[in-house]
Parts: sequence; C-alpha cells; structure tokens
Amino acid sequence: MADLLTHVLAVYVVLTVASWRVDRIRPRWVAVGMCGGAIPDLVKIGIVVDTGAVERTLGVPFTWGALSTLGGVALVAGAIALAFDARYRRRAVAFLVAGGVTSLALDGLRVFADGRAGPWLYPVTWWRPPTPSLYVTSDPRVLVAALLVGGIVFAVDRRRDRRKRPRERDDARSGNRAEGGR
Amino acid sequence: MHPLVRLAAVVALLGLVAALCVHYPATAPGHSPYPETEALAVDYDAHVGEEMLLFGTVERVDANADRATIRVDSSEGAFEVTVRGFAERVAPGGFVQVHGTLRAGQVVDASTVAVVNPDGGSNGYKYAASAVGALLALAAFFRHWRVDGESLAFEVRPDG
Repeated sequence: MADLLTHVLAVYVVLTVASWRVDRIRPRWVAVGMCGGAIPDLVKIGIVVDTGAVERTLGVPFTWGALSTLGGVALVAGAIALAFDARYRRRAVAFLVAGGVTSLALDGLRVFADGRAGPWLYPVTWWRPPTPSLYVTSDPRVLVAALLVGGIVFAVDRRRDRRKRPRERDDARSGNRAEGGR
Repeated sequence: MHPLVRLAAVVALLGLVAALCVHYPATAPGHSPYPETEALAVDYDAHVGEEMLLFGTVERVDANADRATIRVDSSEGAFEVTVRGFAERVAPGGFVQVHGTLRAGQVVDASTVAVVNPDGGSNGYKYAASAVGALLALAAFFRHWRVDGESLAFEVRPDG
C-alpha cells in the first residue's frame, strides 16, 4: 500500500477540492476524513503484533489484512465515531469511511504482478478489480506528487478563504446571515 | 448515550473487527484462483503446474541466468523458490511479486515480476513517511477538535 502520508494527503486533496463546491464539507470534516484515510494503514499493526503469535493464541487462521478492506474501514470508522459527541457521529462515520475508501481506491491503482488489485471490497465481494498498475509503494515519486498536489490545493484553498472572508463581513454588515465557521 | 454504553459499543465493534480478521483467511482460499502460500509451505509438490502469485524477499540474484531465489513467508513457515525469467534489478533484501507457473523442484517460471522494494532499505523510507502522515492527520484533527471533559467525547473547538 501507499505510505500513510500519501494516503492522508490524497484524502486532504479530494475533500478540500470537494469543499469548494459543497459548503457542508468544512475543514473540520476534512480533518476527520484525513484520519479515516489512515484506517487501512492499521494493517501495519502486523509489524508490531506478529500474525503467527495471534494465530497460536486464538487457534485459528488470522490476518490483519482485513483492516485494509471496506468492511474493516466501516467497522473501525464506527468505533472511532463513537468517540464523537452524538451531534457529530453520523457525519463522523461518513467522513471516516470516505477517507478510508479513498485510501483503498488509491491502493487499488498500484502494481500487482497479475494485473488485479486485492479484494479490498471484502466482505461485499471477493472480486479483485483490475489495476492500471500505476505505481509501486516504494517509489518516492508517488509521495513527491502527493506533496506537490497537496501544496497546490492548500495554497488555492487559503486564497479562496481570504477572498471569502471580506465578502462574509460585507454580507453580515448588510444584514444577511453569512455561512460562517469555515 | 452514557460513556459506559459507548465503551461497550466500541468493544462490540472491535470484536466484529477481530471476527473479520478471522473470517477473511478462513474464506479467502475458496475465492482465490491461486493456492495459499501456507499450502505451498506444507506440500509444494501437490501444486506443481498451477498458476501462482507469490510475494517474497529476494535472497540471491543470478543476473547472468535471469534467475533469483526468493523467500516466501507464511504462517506455516518460510520456504524458498527459484524464479526463472527474473530480469529485474533487485538487491538481496528487496521485495517482489512473482506471477507464474509452479514447476517441480521449488521453481517458478515467471510470466511477470513486479518489484515492490528494490532493496531492504526501502522499508525505512516508507515507515518514516508513514510516521509523518500520522502526525499530520493528528495535527489537522486536533486543530479543529478537542476532548470535552464532561461528555468524554470529541467536540468542535470554538475556532474550529
């Protein structure tokens, strides 16, 4: 899979660009989505907690790989969303899952020797989608591209934000209730 | 919702995650076109002639003969296979995917070899980038959210 920084930046780019069109996607929800983008990377628990040791303890086959699937993302997102105040839970689940699915889809574009990505839509289906084999995970150019695009989106977003604030002040002065809090 | 009820719900969801981690390897073999690596570790010869996708660490490379020996790890133990048709530049310690046909004598005729890590040092770069990614996500989150002491839940910061 791509490194965690690439995952987090990819979610930032997708959600921030979407927020330019959809007012309900505020920066605080972009941040929640970025955390969701890290959920598939929980599979790296396997580096610390050996799968074989877990199997010997449980007495059944076990894999952390299920965390890097649609089912794993949805369940972990649900668990994390319970840490939010009740008013925010539904939206927290939605943005955590959106972030996680963005990361899974990005991983679905990487190189597989047989031309098919892993079954990341499990448990909905075991189908392995075809992959365009765009990158290998150790290629630093992937991270460089993510940093460049993330930097451009950050700069454009800041610029839009600065332009929007005076307009909101003018609206407030003229008695219109502006949509604030971005 | 009372914090204890929330805690119980979190434990229940994490229990389902654990169930998923058990269900996945129990059902995967029936949905894969390839034999499991565990099955190869136990009885390689039973699968000679079959197509396989292997993930392994490069042990030795014989560039003149387009061959390499890779170590495949499985929960039934690690085993080595010799890959024929291996023209990639990979140092020992690198990680590759091999798609090909299993032949007698722990040999694989590769149709495609994909280099995941060209050498053992590639992992260090990925871990460092991942650590920065985790810090970035946490910093972005706590820029907008805080833990409310009364409800023991995440609440939007006044300026968030």
